[in-house]
Amino acid sequence: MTIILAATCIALALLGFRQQRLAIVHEMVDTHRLLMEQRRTMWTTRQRIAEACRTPALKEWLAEDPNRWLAINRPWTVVPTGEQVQP
Amino acid sequence: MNESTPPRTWQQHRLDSWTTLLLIGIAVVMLACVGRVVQLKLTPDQRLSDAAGSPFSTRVEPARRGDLLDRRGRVIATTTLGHRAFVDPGTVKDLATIGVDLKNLIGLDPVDVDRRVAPRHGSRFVPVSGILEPWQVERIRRSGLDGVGLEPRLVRHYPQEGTGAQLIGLVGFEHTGLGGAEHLLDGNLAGTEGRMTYLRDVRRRPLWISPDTFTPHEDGDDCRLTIDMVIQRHVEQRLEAEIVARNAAGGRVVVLDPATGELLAIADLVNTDRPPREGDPPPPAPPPDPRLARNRCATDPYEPGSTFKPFVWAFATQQGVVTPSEILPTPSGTPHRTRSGRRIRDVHYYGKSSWEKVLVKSMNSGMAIVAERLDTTSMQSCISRFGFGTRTNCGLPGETAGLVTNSRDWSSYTQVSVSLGHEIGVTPLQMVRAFSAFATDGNLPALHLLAHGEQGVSPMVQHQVLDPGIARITRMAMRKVMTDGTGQRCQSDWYRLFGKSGTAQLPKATGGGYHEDRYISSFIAGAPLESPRLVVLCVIEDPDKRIGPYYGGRVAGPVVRDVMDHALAYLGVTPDLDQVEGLPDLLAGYDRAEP
Repeated sequence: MTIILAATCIALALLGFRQQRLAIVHEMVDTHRLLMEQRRTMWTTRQRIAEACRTPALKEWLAEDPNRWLAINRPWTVVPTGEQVQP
Repeated sequence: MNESTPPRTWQQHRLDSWTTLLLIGIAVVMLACVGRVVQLKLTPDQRLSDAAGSPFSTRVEPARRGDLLDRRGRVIATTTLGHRAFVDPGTVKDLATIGVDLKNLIGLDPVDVDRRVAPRHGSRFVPVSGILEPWQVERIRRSGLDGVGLEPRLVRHYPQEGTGAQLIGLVGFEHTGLGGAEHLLDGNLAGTEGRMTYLRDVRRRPLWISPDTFTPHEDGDDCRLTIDMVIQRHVEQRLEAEIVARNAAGGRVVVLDPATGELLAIADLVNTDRPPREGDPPPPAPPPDPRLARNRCATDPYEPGSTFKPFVWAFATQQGVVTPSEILPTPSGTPHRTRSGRRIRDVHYYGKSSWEKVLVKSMNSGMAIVAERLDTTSMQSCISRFGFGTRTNCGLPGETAGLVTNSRDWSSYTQVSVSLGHEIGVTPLQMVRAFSAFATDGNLPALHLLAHGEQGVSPMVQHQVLDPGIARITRMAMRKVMTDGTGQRCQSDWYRLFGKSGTAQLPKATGGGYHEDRYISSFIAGAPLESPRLVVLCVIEDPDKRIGPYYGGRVAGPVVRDVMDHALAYLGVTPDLDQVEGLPDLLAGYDRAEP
């Protein structure tokens, strides 16, 4: 009986380790998949930024409002002391 | 006092026997289970193996192809991951309705789906769509439609649209470069996909990943080109406008930084709307994609005409066979006759003229006189010294070395013809490289398309082909071309250009001579005069003579001027003409709201 109990305990412990290992493997795979998805999202975002920053697109955007030129040409405010202060 | 053990009752004996039997039974069952497991592991039945399949799954990690960037980091080509739908006919519930199901789900054409699936019932993978929109992917994922899956595919995007199409090239279905820079830099751009193999359970959930079965992906490298997309776009727009206005067959423009050998823009346009002229062979079929067209700036030589004269002029001056102020016996009204009796015509006859005036007024007679003073070897040396007859090796696919008459066939006729820019074929790339010698005080730069610091780019290589003094004298003479010669009509309001025009007869496509009234008009220039930053060449092919002038200074010259004005202003180069303030309007051509 002692042997059976001991064997059962050992078996349960091994089963527990196995389940832990499986959980870790699942987590690894999920993390890996998440990483891959994030990578893909980054690719898409990069592509969208590239589309939005095309020269004609920027020029049209600037042409809509002349003040936007101002923001690009002078992104700071000149104060009387001559120091340049970020807005 | 010894207490004797009470005698065991028959019930206790019976219990012991049952316990022993039970233990033996449990042991036998456990041994049988272990034995069965060992048997299933070592020699499983074939039917079981077939049903279970491989216990391993492999997941592929796609590697991202590197981006192509312009010299300022603008994205020219980039990669994302898309999906296309596929059908597994073996697991579809009802093949007869799969087309309609996909139409209702994501709007695919049911007839097209059925046409694809019908002949491949035995297959497990039948692609039924192109790259799907994100909403279509989402719908398929949510639908749980049996037998319909999503296959991830790398998708290449070209955010700059058609600008520099054949220069950039494209990738094929397997995401490998097929033309242009995509092909040239394929080794750097292509990545290596990763792979992960894992032990799985029956529900395909991972059980174990062995470290040696995981190979991480390696993304491709980004590559930065020397091309500037702002300049490239402007060049293409300006060139297209000129081609349309002149009803020309096509045109080419190259913009080069002579100091570094960096190619800033390479434009090559063909007027496909123009019907073939009488006597022309039918045009070749256009490539399936404009990005697959050859870049004629590297592949197709042309006769440079008078734009070749500065090279002979500078070389002869350096050789000491003539000085810029020497008066030559150029004719005043009739064609000049060479030693062999060949008649050399000028557009205008000026009488006796200085060697400098010969270049300024582009006088064929003066060039012929000096060409006959040079021996054959010297003239051939002049050609090879400026790099004609050898490839620039800038990296563009299919580059040719041009056409130079070999020494065996070189005659006195050739000697004179070459001095006028005839009987020689050069590519636009060769022309801008050679012309750079005037802009860099005699140095011939090594052209390149890949920016410095990128893989595979050797340090800038230059070699001296002219004395600095001679290069400057030639530059000053070419400045007079702009003020007093054939470039008067294409002077810049902002920068002092130096350049040379050229007008050569168009060779017949069928061979056997030249068209009498069809021309190749070209213009090449550098600016600013004192410290040149750019060299620009424009070649306009077969401008329609009925529409207007066809001379290089009138057709190609204005393109060079406008490109030069825009590009120099964009680069922030201060105008070098007196009484000029500010810079040319970089927003010209765009609708700007009134303030």
